[in-house]
Formats: sequence, C-alpha cells, structure tokens
Amino acid sequence: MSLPLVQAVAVQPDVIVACQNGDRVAFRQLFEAYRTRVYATARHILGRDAAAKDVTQQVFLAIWQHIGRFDPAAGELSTWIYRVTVNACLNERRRWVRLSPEEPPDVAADGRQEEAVLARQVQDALGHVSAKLRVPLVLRYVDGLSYDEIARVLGCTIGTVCSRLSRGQAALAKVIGKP
Amino acid sequence: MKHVSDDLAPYVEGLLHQAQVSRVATHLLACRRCRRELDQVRAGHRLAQTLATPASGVPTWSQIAGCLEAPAAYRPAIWRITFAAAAVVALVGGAWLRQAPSVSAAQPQAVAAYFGQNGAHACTDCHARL
Repeated sequence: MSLPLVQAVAVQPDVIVACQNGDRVAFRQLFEAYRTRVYATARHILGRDAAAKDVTQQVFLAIWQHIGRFDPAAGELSTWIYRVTVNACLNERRRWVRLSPEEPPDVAADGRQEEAVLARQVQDALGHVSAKLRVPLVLRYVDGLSYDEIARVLGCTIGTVCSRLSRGQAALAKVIGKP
Repeated sequence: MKHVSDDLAPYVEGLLHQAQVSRVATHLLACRRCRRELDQVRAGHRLAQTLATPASGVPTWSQIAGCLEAPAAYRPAIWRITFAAAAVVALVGGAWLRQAPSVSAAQPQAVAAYFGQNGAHACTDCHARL
C-alpha cells in the first residue's frame, strides 16, 4: 500500500505552547509542518487550485487566531488541523452550486505518462463523488489517516467511516467506469 | 441475510479481524450483490491509491505571514460590512433631512390654509392642534 502520500512531520509540544503564546517563529514551524497536508487536502476536496490556496490561508489564519483554545489533552494537533481544514473546505464548497474541477491536478512527475493520465482521471472523477463520500477518501488516500483518525476528524463512528469509504470507493469506480 | 457493503473497504484493505473476515467471506460466497460491490470497492481502492500530492501550488510562509499581520484585511467580517452600510445610510439620511424643509413657527397657518382651501382634511381635532 502506498499510504501515506503526504509525509507527516511531528510538531513538538513546546512549539504548540509557543504558538499559543503568540510566537510567530514557532507558528512558522507549525506552518511548514502542515502546509503541504492542508493544501493537498483542500486541493482534492475542492478540486480547484485557487480555492485550495484560499482555504489554506483561511485555515492557518484560523489556527493562528484560535490555537489558544487547542487542548493537547483533548486530542492531537493534526486531528484538530484536519477538522479545521475539512470544515473550511465544506464552507467554501457551499458557495458553489456544483463542484467541477477546473483543471487537472498537478501530479508528481515520475516519468510515467500512463500514471499521470490515470491520476488526472481519478481527480476528475473525485469531483463527481458527493462531498460526504469524497472527504473520507481524501483523508484516507491523500493524507493517509487511519480509520480511527478519520472518525475523530469527522466526529463520527468508525462504522460510519467504513461505510463511507466503501461507498466512496464504489462510487469512484462507477464514475470512471471500472470494473 | 445482512449485507456486508459497509465492511468492504476495510475488508479490501485487510483491516478486519479474522472473525470479521470469515463473516464477510462467508456472506460473499452466497451474495451476488455484495460480490459485485466488492469488485467496485476493489477497483475504487486501486484508483484512489493513484491520488497524488500536488507537486506545486502549496502556499509559502510569505503569503500566509501577510494574513497574520492584518487578518481583517484578508476577509472583512460581516459586522464590519454591516457597520459600514449603517454608517452610509445614516450619512445619506442625515443629509436628506438637512435638505428637507423644516416646519417653522410661522408655517402652521399656511398648512391650515392649504388644508382648508382644498378641503382634503377638515378634521377639527387636527385643526385645533395646528
């Protein structure tokens, strides 16, 4: 299995405390640790590069303004950041009548043209899967979260995650026309 | 017969306990519908694994740092817009009131004469107030 696609970088507890005290240098460390994950998540949920950039800015602004409320005892920082990201994406998406990816995703240039074409098809197909099913797919396959982590981010049970991932994968295959 | 649709994703990923695997496998042997769904979930799993991390476009610190300096400038809050709209209405309304003719002490007679001449409002109470 090729998960996770987005490399996870741990943020030390003292960095979180420094951020809570308004330390911008510490916040920059947090930003560097999470910016790719936040952007990749938003990019795949929204399907639009410009919107993903906007949402990434909104997310880090919200983190900066509200990190004082974050309680490490109540959960992991990454879970909180993913929750903020997903909520920002869903709020952004509510502004659209219908989501349709405006451009194909930037796929890693590994010299395999077939893979790049398939990745574009999958990204396009993902835009036709409902947001309720798309979000768990992105958290699982782009961010590499476990079922338990996805449940905590979405505030639902693991059973619901299993159900949505099953339906989401089936929906993705139907959109692309496989099997 | 309870279908196993909801368990197919963890089944494909090999995340179920042995007892659950046996239950799902046993059901699949007997249920054509769930076997068909299993094929779709397997295909979807393979396709989803091709989702790639965007190679470019990730915002940089300089783009974010600007927002931290002046967060209000990035996206104006609703209350700011409401306050600005209320201020404009107040200014326009105030200017209009200043332009409108005011009722001076000498005018009640003219108003009374107007009503009396046209006969449009002959109420004695109002005339008394005038």
